[in-house]
Amino acid sequence: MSRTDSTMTPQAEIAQRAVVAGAVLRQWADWPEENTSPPEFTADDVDSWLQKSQERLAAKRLSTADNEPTFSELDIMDALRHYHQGRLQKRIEELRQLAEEDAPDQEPLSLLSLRSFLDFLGLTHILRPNLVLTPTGNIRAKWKQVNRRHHISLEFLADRRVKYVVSVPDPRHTYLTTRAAGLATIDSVKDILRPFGLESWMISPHDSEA
Amino acid sequence: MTEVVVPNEDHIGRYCGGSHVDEDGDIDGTAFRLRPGEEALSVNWLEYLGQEGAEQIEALRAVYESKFRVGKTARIAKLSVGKMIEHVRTESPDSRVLKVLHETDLPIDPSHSGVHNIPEEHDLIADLIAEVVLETYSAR
Repeated sequence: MSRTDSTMTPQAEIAQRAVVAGAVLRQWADWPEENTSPPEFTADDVDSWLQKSQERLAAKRLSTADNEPTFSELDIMDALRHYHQGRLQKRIEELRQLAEEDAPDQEPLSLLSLRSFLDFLGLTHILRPNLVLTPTGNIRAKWKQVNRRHHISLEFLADRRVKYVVSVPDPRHTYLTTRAAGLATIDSVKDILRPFGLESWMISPHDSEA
Repeated sequence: MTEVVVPNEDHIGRYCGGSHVDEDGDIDGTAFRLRPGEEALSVNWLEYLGQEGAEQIEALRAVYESKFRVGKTARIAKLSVGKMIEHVRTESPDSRVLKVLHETDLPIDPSHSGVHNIPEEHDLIADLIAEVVLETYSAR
């Protein structure tokens, strides 16, 4: 316990820990005020109570997150509002509802995927992609041409990773299709896909880097 | 048990949840990905369900209705078995040959079939299948 003062006597330290423990536990149980007096408790008792209270707090957070957006998800959704006149945010909200409609065969929208997608949006100015969900709840962004066989697609995974699929016309034999698939990070995928003509597919002319 | 192969001249239907239909109404390749634990892509043999296209789709809707809750925006993707196999074989890097087997699920889903020989990493294969969707219909 680092929050105690090193000049405290052992009894005072126990008393302070008990007060802290009592304050935490009172949120979850009817903890009598008078039980915060030190003589009945050892430091180990108090640490054990604190540990239990933290576990209960974590369990409560998990249970409330099952059906409601968490604060961090709300933050991400709010940040998405600033891209493409809020149309990405609207589409992702729609996908979240569609995933619920198709449960249990469809996993819910992945917060980790959403986070990677938002980070990617922050790296580059992209043309608005067409969004769908994978069966595991990841966001897949697709840039396609009129011919639906030709597209560049990015599936956003956790931790800034991305799976890509490229199906574009062969530069020298445009009646044929060049295809590639792989795994990269959101930081490097632009460079990896540049030889496939990335700029014309997904990069906005406003992006000075591209 | 003898394998019953769905003929190349015939057609299959695949249930595609609304989250796999893009904003232009096109079925994305994600609709043809295996779910964790699946070994084959679940489809229905349309000619087994009836002679006419409309009759087949109506019968397939009834099968879905009896098996699970059908999404409002879900679609049925219709594919030619032969075209799908040929497209994947010619366009996949390893010249993958898919196989469609009749795997009846009695009593409620006798036309049930499976698309086999899909590799573990199959994002590209799934996209190739999506490229040869012939028609789509509402699933309800």
